[in-house]
Amino acid sequence: MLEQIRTSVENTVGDILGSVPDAMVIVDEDGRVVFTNELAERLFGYGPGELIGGMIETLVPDRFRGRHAEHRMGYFHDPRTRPMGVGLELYGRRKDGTEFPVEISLSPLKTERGTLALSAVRDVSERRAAEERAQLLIREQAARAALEDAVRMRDEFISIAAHELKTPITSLRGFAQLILGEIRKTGGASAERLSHALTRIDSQSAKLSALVEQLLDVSRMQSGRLRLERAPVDLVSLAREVASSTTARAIEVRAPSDLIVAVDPLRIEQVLMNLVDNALAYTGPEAHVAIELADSDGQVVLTVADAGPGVAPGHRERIFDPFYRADPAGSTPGLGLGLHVSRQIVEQHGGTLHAEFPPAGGTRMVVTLPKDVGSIAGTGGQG
Amino acid sequence: MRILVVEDDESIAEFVELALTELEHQVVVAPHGRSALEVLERGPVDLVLLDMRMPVMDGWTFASCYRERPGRKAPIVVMTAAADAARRAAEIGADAVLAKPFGLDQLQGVVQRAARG
Repeated sequence: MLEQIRTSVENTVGDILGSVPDAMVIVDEDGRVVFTNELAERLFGYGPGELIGGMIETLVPDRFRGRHAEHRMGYFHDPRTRPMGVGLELYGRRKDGTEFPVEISLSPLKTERGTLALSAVRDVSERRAAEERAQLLIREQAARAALEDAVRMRDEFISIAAHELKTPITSLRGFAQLILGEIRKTGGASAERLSHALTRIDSQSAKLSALVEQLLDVSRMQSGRLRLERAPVDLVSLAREVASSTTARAIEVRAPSDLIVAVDPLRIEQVLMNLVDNALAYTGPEAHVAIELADSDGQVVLTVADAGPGVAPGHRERIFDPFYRADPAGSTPGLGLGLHVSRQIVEQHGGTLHAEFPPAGGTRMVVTLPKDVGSIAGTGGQG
Repeated sequence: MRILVVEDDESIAEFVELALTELEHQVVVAPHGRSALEVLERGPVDLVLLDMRMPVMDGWTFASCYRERPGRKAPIVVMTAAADAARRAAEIGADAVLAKPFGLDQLQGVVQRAARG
């Protein structure tokens, strides 16, 4: 029977299949190979006629054989011309057991002995290797670009950090040397001058310490080491404390009598201070600044609103980026980390921080914090 | 000498003022470039100590406005925390540079050299 089919195929399409540029394999409904052209034998590493009568699954890697037999039977239920395994990576198996990537087109072949399946097999090793090389190149280029970005960010970080740290250090060193010089010259320094210099040294040390702390915060956040110490906190009292500690300008607080939420009080105070400092730094001395607190839909909404010039539309996307300062000349002191750090802290509390720019002008920095700590149990306690 | 100190950091400005007053110079402090130009409207100075990054008007803009003014120009000493302090000074044609954090000796040395011309 097989020989008859083979002869029938040979007689009808044998000459044509012998001259096509693809490896051709024809199988019957039982999966037996009834015809191969020379290219197919060479591709799979078999001698002339060696595959005839064997199962087509011989040419399929072991791990795909079971499924291949099912697919083959399915094909004979609906035999039509189509590519095999669309979206899949197909592999052929050589006689020596080695594998190679292939593309296969299937066509039904009607003969007087029944329908056969004609497979045109193409070795796509070179194309696949070229694609992989191209992908590798793209990945390498992306990795290099990411590395260059990281190096640029690091350099920028070091440059800005060094610049900002040098300012309090200049004062520290200057006042210390002034007093030392006086002591060396006169054998002592007046209590008044000493007290004044030490007050400066103290305040500049605190500034230096705050800058270092902010740099460490960024480092902690980047490595996921920032931990929250939650406790029930009255945010209204906290807001009033921040407002009254700001001596530069009166800050209005609009809030209900109390709002108790489980947050890390030091971190939320840091966020509030950052937002208020920003509002003061980027607005004129007369501009109104207010802290608003509201209980809304299971969450607390905390807003720091100012009546300053706002932020130009082109800059709004970037104000939460690290080291970004709305002032392009960089003339406003600071690391440009306040908003970035604040957003990270709020997000670790399960909340959000975004900016709004009302048409009437000004900037509104809006913090939302969930009231129900249970809903953020996954991050609670450690963040 | 009458010395104009243009510096927005109050603490540094005070240190510089005290250090130069000790050398019996007359010191006027301005917190930014625009305020410094107003000081110059009221009378000439012999030396300008200039910070670069300041609000309202920065050091670059001040230096450019100052150069355009008629009359004799005082030497400018740039005070900067930038890594490339010398380039910053060259950008505005400054006569000298004090890289922050500078000490008392460096500050007084630069001013004494400027006084000698």
